[in-house]
Amino acid sequence: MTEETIVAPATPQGRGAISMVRLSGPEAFQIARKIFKPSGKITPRKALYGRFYDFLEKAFFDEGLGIFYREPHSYTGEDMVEFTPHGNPVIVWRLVELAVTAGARLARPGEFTYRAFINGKMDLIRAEAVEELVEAQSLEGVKLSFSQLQGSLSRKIEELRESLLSAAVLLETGMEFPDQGIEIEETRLKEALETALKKIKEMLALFETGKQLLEGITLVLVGKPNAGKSSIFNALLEEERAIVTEVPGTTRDFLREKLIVEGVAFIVIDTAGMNPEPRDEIEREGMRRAELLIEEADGVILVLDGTTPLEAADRKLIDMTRNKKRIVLLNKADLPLILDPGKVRELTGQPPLVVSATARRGLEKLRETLRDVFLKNISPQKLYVNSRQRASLQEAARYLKEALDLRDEELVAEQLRGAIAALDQLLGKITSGDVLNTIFSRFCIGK
Amino acid sequence: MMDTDVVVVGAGHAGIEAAYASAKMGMQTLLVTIHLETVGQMSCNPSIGGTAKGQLVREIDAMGGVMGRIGDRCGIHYKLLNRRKGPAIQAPRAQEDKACYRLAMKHFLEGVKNLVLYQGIVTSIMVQGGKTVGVETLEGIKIRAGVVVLATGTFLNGLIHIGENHYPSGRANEPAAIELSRSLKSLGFKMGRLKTGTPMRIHADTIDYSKFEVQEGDKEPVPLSFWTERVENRIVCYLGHTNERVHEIIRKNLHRSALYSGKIVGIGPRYCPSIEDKIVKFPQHKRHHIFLEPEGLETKEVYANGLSSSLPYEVQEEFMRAIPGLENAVMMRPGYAIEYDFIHPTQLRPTLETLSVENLFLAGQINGTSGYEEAAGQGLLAGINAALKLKGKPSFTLPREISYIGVMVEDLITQGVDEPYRLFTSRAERRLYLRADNADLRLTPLAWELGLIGQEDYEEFLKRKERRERARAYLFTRKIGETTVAQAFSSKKISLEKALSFLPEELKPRNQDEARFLDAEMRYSGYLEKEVRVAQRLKREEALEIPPDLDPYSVEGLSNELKEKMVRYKPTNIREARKIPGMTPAALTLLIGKIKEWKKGKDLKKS
Repeated sequence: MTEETIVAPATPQGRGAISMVRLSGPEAFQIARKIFKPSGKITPRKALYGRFYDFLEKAFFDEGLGIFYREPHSYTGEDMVEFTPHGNPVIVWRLVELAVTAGARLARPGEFTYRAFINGKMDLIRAEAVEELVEAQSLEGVKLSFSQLQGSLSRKIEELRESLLSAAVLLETGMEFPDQGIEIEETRLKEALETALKKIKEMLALFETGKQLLEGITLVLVGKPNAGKSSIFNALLEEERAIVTEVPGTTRDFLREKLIVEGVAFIVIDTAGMNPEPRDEIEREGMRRAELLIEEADGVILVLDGTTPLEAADRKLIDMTRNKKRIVLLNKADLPLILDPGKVRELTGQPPLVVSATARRGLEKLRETLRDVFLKNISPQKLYVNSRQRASLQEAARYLKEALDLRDEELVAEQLRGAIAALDQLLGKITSGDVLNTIFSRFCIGK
Repeated sequence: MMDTDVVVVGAGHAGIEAAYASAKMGMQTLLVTIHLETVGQMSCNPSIGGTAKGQLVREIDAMGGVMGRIGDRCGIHYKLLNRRKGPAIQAPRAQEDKACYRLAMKHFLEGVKNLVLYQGIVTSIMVQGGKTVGVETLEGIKIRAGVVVLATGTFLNGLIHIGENHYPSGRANEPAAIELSRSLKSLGFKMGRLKTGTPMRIHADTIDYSKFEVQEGDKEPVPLSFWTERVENRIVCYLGHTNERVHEIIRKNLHRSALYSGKIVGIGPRYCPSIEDKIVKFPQHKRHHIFLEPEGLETKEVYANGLSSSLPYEVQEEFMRAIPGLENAVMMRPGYAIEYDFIHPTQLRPTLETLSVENLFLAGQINGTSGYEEAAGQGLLAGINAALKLKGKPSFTLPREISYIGVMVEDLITQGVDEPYRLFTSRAERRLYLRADNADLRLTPLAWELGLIGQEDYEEFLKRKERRERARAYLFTRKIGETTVAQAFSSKKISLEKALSFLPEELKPRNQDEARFLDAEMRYSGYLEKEVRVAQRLKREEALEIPPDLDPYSVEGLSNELKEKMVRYKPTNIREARKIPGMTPAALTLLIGKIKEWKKGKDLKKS
């Protein structure tokens, strides 16, 4: 149990119907009583109506709800209070100020979840899931991180750890009690290791799709100047305007917008201004950045101008995107086509979609193709693996792979220990300072 | 009234090593025991060594201890365990002639300078101002001493159980130490109760050996001590089995077992269960092993390993006679269970001195361990620190990275015990390094510094060391084709025999230990290097100093209990903090974070 009581707003800055302020720690109740005057008796875990009191100004300044939680039955595992005043930043920050005056300290980013972890309310995987749930970019992503928060990955890892542990136990028993004639059969051990390795590989495969569901699928629009990239970009997004929001981290060079298809977010990047045959240093730099984007993206939409013959620039782009998931568009179909779709097919190995951005033709087909190409393999999954978890899983896999090549029991046992330690790290059973610091500093105040 | 530097209470395996180390380091030492005829008594099985224990005996031996040397003088059956597995988990074990061991040990100790053996029953610890100043005996004799080492074994408030009967006793036919237990309680020690047991002894001539399988000792027996040239097998042991009828008899009489009738409250070891325990907990097993081990050359008593029991005498006799080959056997002593007090070892420092009473050290079963070797290892450490304390020199501790003794002591003081603690190789993180074949390389130089090794023995060690190091260097540099001999062996391209054949004549192994050392060094070379790197990284982290003016109460997230302990133990670095009982990885993380933050703050202030 910690000494200090912390306080922070739990909802984002801004105006709304209501906001929330949280208090956690041994003095949470005492501090809360100074600034909240409930109409009835305080009963833990019951929403109480009351008025918020400014004990410095000696005046009431808002009304709302307060919920009191007794440790350990709270999110953090400590005494906790949640206030829901009206959603005005002035009210919210006055509440925080009053709590601080009464003895609380402003919480650091992620500290509520950190305390929940320290107090054993959740393991590391679940703690991370809280952050991912808040940050998820699509409904599928939200479902996914909620399932993670419920412990689905933790359970899988626990199971895996359990199976490795029982193999290790058998191995160790044979070594520790040589008189008892207990020996693990080599084939059984090998089988156990292989099964574990297979399970880890399956979990590792969840990394890519999980990332896409949480962060969105990145699509880069490429094409020579005037092929119509921007009009395709606008046409694609036009019907979505209502739910399109600004994506944080937008680079100045390229436009990024979010498009939702069947609950999954696509981050579409328009490489307007990109010239595959750069003429000066500025264009060369633009091209370098575009190449980098293409490399990191989950897929590309290659836009060809149907009214001009194929040029060197087109061929270059076809080549550059050969190994990516790709949709090829033959644009400007409202005008007489010069470019032969058969020829494009020959060159790219796939039939182009004939569209017209300005005439809004073929767009429905494009959305369908997006779905087919990018969403087909994303079956709604129940768990995912983030990059920290992936590193631990890869480490465990390395130990197991090495174990499979070994014959000496004591060396196999060494590898098993390593693999189990990697999984412990994953669950946060033994955590080094760096891991914790990184994870918890990524949280926002009050989550 | 007597005066001495160090008084050691109890002359079992812990007390002996403690007294010997302290005397060897120049302290006037008094070794007090209830019964001078049972100095170095092996109360239970007649063997020394075994997995992890064999490595431990080698460590005690490498540190100048007596267990291995006397053990070799009286060893009658030698076996290197796990011979078919890798050298790291191979461990020597010797069956002993118990009477020989006892007499040879007493005789040896009688000849040690600065050491006096004395028969008496210690009843209380004298304490003045938080420090012990000696002990008092039943006869009212006050023994004044600078340091007291308690090695009381199962004697503290010992209670023997056979079936429905129980009586106070420290070991069959010896009195229990009841007043001493009371004295310790009154000093405020948190104590608990443990249980252990021993099987029946059978008359050798009444056994039908044709029903048993002979267990020969090794063709080339491996001694316990580095300083023993050769040993011989003098006897054979026998392997037999229980059967369903035996199990049926036990099941029928379970209610008469002290263990199952609820008379025993102490917790017994899971790895050394009584026969009734095995039958209850593993009902699917149709039979259990029994090893018949002679207790010596000049006795007919045979130890029935595997039949430990607290059932009444007549039930023990009935099930014994249901065992094939024991139909006409005559029991000379029944098996029994014994309960005794122990002090929770979380109340100890890494030197085995108690936290609350200065100059009082505890070693052996009193700390919740089990086993002769575990006891001896603690005795050695306690004896060394007793002497250092009186000399006003810095204390001596053994890190777990370089010794099983260190693994054991750290486990005891940080984790505590909830059943009798026994060493296992899997408790060691550096199992590939903590081996029987290199224990002297690991520890003898440290023991030499402390003055525990004689000049002659040390010179012999230096020769051994040089030979092994030269041979090792040769195998790691001599090329055969593209690779070195060591690489060819570790990748299983050539056999050990073949690899060693490349050595020049004068470096060819002269005994199995040398061969095993070279085998291990080549086989594990990649792993050993990695271990060293990991250990170095850990060491850096552990060396992180805790600023003396850092207030533990300013470390957020740390429990109040741990904050109090930080104030009490005053750890100066992370390594010491890690050893604080109840310390958790999460708490250490908080502490490390705080130190770094604190240092950064200091730097900012400076600039």
